[in-house]
Amino acid sequence: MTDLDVLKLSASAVLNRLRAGELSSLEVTSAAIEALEERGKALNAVVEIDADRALDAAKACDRERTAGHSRGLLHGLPLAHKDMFYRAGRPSACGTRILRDFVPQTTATVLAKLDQAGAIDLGRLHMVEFALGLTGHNDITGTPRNPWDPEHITGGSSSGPAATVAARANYMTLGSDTGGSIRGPAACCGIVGIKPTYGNVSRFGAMPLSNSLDHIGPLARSSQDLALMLQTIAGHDPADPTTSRRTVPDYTAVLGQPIKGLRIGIAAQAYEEPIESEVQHRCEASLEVLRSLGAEIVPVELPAFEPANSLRRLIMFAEAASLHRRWLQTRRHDYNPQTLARLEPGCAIDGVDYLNALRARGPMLKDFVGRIFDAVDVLHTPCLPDPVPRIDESDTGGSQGFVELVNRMGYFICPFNYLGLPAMSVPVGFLTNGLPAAMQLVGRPFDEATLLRVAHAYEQETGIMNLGPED
Amino acid sequence: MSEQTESGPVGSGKTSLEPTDDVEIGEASLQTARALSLRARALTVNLDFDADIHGFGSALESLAADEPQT
Repeated sequence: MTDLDVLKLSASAVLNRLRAGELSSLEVTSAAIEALEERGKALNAVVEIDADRALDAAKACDRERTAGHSRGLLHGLPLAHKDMFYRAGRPSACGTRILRDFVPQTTATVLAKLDQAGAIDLGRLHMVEFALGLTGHNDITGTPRNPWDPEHITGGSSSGPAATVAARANYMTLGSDTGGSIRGPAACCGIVGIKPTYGNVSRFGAMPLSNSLDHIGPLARSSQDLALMLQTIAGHDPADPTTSRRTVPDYTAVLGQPIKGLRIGIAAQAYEEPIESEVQHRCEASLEVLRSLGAEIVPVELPAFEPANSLRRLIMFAEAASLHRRWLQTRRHDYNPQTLARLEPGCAIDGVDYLNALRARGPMLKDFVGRIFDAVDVLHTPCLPDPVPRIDESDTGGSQGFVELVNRMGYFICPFNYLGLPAMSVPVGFLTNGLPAAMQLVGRPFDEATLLRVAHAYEQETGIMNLGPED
Repeated sequence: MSEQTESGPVGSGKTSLEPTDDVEIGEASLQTARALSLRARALTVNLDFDADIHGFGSALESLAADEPQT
């Protein structure tokens, strides 16, 4: 097998071959390092590859396997992640020059869980400065390129992670999502990404942006791989008091179950934001596939998304400004203009308005779940309302145009950061510009399993997860 | 420098009594903040007196399905 052939395999397929002794971890890790060095760096997606450490870890995994020992679900699988998950003693620059020399003293719980499951950490991937932006632009580190067409954005803020997975330079990866930063890049790059329920995955040791809205989750090429990674990282963490004590279900167990009779909700009325016609057609076609598999498509009266979007923005601005106030005073000129434009307003948010936006969250969640999930099992929406734009046409600095672009990109995905519901981006095909489009699936609290099951059924029917930029 | 004006991390007991410099906020940012605040006030004007910020976490737990949908 060539290196590209090894990297074209899904994570699940590689793990099967590692278990069967058909591939060694050293072979897979060497191939992944080469892929990141070549394809990953060509896309400006890579901060640093820790090749020596990864190769030593791969050799150790192979020795352990030969001795009949496996650390866990991901034994011997190499993965690289967004540069905001702390590992004690290793720099974590978070896409900014302000933290260029930051070396954390703790390790993120999600990295520790991946370590315990036997995954090998390959290194750090580029991201939007402080994870604050949906397009992927970063004037400081350079903007990562979309593997389907390098003139187009990857989406952000998990820009490098999405680009490397789509380019078959990384099997799967960790992202963060405060306002669509997992689902947006997944949609732009034609892969799957899930923002779990608030409290399902620990944020300890991940760079904070907005504590009330931050979510950590995986990006992968298929729902099967996504389920595997979510299985590994989900669950209670004493170091993050917001995590739930619920038992983590077996996310992979429901994959392959038929979706016949499952009720999938769609908006009964027009959305407040218009959807571009090609995106609309692809999303309608995805519904036809789900209908053909026996799902019942049920129109539901959706609450307007604007209130949740407005309250989310207010909370995010205020909480981010609280974290950044010191640097806004002392290192203002070190920020990207886009970052600055989104941090400044938070310094002028009224404390009462901030607290009321938080207090409204519980009642609004109860209203939404009662209205929607008493009638359907899963909600289906478009993920992004427009085709993936080019880098140059969406590079609007810190101007009002940038704010409007980000607000429109986030229209369908940001409400679920405010509501805390699990939401998943699933590719549904390609538009005439050659770039992918995606649907979003939303579920009841802690019902990620049903989203993965629907996505898996769709993938099996269409085969979309097997398409890569090199094919 | 007296103990009272010596600066240190929160919780260190060394807090400054001097006001810090204000963050420079551009007019566009002020307008954005004002618009968001006004919208938030309109959206939360009828919020129940006993709605608290902890209600969100407990609502997520209580509204969860016991098992994945079948």
